[in-house]
Amino acid sequence: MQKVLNIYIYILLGGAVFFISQIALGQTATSNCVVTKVGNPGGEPQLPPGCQSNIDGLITPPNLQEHPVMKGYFRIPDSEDDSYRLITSGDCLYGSPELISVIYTVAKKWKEQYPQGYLFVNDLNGPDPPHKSHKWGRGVDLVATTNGVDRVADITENFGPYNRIATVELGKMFASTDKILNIWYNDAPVRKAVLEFANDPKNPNRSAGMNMEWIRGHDNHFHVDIKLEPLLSTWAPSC
Amino acid sequence: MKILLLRYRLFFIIGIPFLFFVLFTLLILLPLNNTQSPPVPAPTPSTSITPNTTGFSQEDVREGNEESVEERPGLLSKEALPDNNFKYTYRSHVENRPHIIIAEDEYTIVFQRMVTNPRFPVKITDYTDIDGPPKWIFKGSVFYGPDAQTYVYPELGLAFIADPRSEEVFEQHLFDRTTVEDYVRRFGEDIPANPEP
Repeated sequence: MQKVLNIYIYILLGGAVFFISQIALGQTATSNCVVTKVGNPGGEPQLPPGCQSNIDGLITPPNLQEHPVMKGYFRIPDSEDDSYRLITSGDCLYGSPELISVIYTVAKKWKEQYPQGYLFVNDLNGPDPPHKSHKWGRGVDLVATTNGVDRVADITENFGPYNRIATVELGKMFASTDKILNIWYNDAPVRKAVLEFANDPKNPNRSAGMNMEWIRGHDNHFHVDIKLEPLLSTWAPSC
Repeated sequence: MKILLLRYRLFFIIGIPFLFFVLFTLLILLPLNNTQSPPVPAPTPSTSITPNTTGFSQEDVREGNEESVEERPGLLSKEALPDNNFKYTYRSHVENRPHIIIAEDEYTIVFQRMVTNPRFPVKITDYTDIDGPPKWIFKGSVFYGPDAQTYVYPELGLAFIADPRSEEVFEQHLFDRTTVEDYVRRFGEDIPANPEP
């Protein structure tokens, strides 16, 4: 009888250990980048290190205007909070709503991170030449600044001191929209850091499988392509 | 207690462990949080991260510079080449070693040499951790000396010159994907006359 009792107690203890470990592991696996608000702290709590670049969901700007002729193409609106500045014009301001939402969301996040900073948004769709891949509503060229002085995503330093750390951060922000097909930019450490972020299963939104490729001429801006299926009709407007 | 255990021994020996078994099975099969995102498949383990295909053709990725190469700041010289291309040199952060662009026209770059800015160092592992080891390494460099090596990834359109001891990368070369022979013939002027691949 004592033997049976011992076996029973072992089973109970084993079960308890298993049960507790299931709960503990489950909590850890789902709470890496989650912050629980207690009461009403006012403002968003800080995310743990490594989660700073994550973006939860895309924001679509209000009142998107569709192009009168090119169906499916919408104009990126002027920024209402200086989170981005448009340095192109005319028909080159048009892209897919998904692309515009990605730009808009990252710009908002960037502004939140750097109140003095903003993105410079160049051509969405554009003429060929010089562009060869800005014609399906999914691509955009851009650079950024954190303070109006430095240059992000521009290693040439022709227009200001290069900020490599912020460039990595910008790449991760785009990746964390979970919509990125590829970013073309020619600074190897930036490429490595962003691809490692995108390939790390710990990051919930990371554009898994995204690419960063060596493309000549892409040392002074990011070229960003989003995943877009189906592509919009081919259109290479002049601006 | 002893009587109780004896009376219900079958339940204690078989029933309770069975209940635990059912409970554990449910815990494993049912997600703890129903609102959890679907699991994202982990990348295939590899010594290097293989970039996905972008869905672009080689012609598509020959993306021209958005500004004319002639309008790029820091232009030092422009030279017509025998193959009808033009060679442009630009000021870099290293004395006597300008950036170079060879272009078919002012928007179509066929080769770009980017000299590393010493303020923003680049390491060999910044490439090899992603792309794996290069298939081709040429010892010696006309400009950087006998200790430097040229690492060539012709299938990626990438090469760089670096010091294998310090891991420091001096410059990178970007070009159309090609063969190593073609790279050496067209853009390998820094590789000594009798290279040792």
